[in-house]
Amino acid sequence: MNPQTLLTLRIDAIRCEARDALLIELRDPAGDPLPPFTAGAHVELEIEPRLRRSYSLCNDPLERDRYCLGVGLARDSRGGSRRIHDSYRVGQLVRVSQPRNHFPLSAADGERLFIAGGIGITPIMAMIHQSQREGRPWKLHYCVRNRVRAAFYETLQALAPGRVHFHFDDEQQGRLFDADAALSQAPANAGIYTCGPEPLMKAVEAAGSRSGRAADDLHFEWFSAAAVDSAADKAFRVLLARTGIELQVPADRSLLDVLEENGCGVPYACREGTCGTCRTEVLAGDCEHRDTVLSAAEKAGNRAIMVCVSRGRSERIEIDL
Amino acid sequence: MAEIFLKNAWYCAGWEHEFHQGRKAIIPRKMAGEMVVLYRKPDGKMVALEDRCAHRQAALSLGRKEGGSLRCMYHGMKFNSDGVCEEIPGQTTIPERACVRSFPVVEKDSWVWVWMGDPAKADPNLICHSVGLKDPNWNLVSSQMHVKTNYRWEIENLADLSHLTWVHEATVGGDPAYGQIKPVHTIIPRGLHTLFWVRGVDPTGAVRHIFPAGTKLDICFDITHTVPCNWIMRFRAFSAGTNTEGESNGQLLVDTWTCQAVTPCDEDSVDYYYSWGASKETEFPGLSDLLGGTLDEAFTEDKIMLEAQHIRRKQKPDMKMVNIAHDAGPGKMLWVLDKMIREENPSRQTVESA
Repeated sequence: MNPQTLLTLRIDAIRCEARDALLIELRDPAGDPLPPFTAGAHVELEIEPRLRRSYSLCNDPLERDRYCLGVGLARDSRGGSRRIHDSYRVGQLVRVSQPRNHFPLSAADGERLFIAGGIGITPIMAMIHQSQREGRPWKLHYCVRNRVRAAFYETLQALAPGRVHFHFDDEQQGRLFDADAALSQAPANAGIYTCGPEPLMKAVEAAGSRSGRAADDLHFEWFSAAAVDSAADKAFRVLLARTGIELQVPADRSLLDVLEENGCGVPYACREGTCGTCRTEVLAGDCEHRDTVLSAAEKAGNRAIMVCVSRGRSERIEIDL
Repeated sequence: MAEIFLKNAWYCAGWEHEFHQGRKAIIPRKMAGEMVVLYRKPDGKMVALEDRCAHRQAALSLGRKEGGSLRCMYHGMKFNSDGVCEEIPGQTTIPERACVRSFPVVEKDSWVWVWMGDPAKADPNLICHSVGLKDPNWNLVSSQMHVKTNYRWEIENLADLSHLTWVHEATVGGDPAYGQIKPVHTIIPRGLHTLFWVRGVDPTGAVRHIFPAGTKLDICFDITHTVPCNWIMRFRAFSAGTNTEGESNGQLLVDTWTCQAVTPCDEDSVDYYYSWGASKETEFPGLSDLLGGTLDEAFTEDKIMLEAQHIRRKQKPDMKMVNIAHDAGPGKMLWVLDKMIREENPSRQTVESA
């Protein structure tokens, strides 16, 4: 199957795992097996056309009949997790990417130390299932604001209470999780896997470098931050010269999104400004170029735009569509 | 699960001369995941049946031609060219369900084409334009090759010829100019048209010895790429002129067509049928035979690269790969293909809006 092809799956169950943490179980509507995944993998869930969010899979990778996603409600969520928490229902069809893994387990680990913060427990759960099955020693430090927010609390207690160390912020008199202490208890050849909020990740990263561990043994799931600060994006207008259609591109939508929504879609592949498939000629107006396809001179010349990532700098641009 | 093959399309099953009247010319092919057996009837008409006996799935390609029919040589059931069973040795009643699937099949421009989708939609006008081996104006020389790769990687290969500089250094490329090309890609019905020139380049390795030392060429690549992966190119070489845009003002030295059809067998292999040769006006003795033979060499270079690549892409299908500017051609052609695959599988794309 084409790795870019989205899967259409049915929500088979939604369970409240903890406060503001939903477990969503997806299956093939026809009951077909799903493409395999490995522990640490995530899928991108299409919230609406062109709005995708990544969620890690928490179930055992041996299971081929379902994907279980952990979805924490992000504070200040505008679109992704808020929409899922408020309106997703059992039986509904959703589209997801095939699983991808940027956070794989290493088979070379002597033992494994997992450090999870909040909903970052999700990929770690799949890793724990895998490690249990392999009979590989593991330990988990699980940092979460308080007990009611600890997803998989019962599962973990039942699975291996001796291996799990909870760190509830509200029971520690304000002491932060001590990454140095956690790492110092792990053998030198342990694989260390961290997923959680950025301050926790940074703390483990710093402790790891202080401890002199090999960089290969430290694994982090960074939820990809946008390379470009899009907070200052402004709305602009685009005139499609061949048809005379004029469209408004809101600050939080890409030009390609708006073209597609209006039935004027162009071929695309990467949607990240790297492949040049959506290159479109610019006839008038100044552009904010964010791609890696055009040279600096071509960007200054302003004769073409990658509509997936680049925007109008002037209030209106005119393109050859 | 998502479909990986476009069904409603003509797939090339090979060169017509392979399908002769010989008793052993019962040719098995795997095409878009289906087992197909092809043969020619005594009246000359081509037949394409599912290569799978209705009785116990024996390979009909191990069978025997009997007139226009094909007999399964496992238990002797005989099927006519429509796939209808006409004899079951040992019984007189033939069950209605004793049929094998037959596929629409058409011969055009020396190629045999099989329609893998709904027979009602099998319009021969959808077969791509190409130049046949018997065209009076051209001397095309044909060949074929099996490659263990996914056809999508073949599409990437053919839709981005910047690899000529690197893969085909000694045969049909080599000049750094190919790595700098900025082709013009235009979406067309069922495919992509691509046009570009390289100017003032050295003759490629395969033909350099023919030209006086120091010869520079302007070369025009004019390519029509259609689904699933048919790739037809008018390739013209001129002595280098002074024009930097548009048609060369040098002298036309060689005017050629190359016709290439990549047929996916399954997810992991393709059959590749191809030809190359010169116009009668620009032909000189031995030229078209050289060009045809050069493609065998060049596609062996591609085969080595693509097969090693396929092993790696299977091993790490999740790996986030880097894109570069040359990916625009592959991106557009795959976009066209994927759009058509989605459109013929509407049930797969229904999304309930959240």
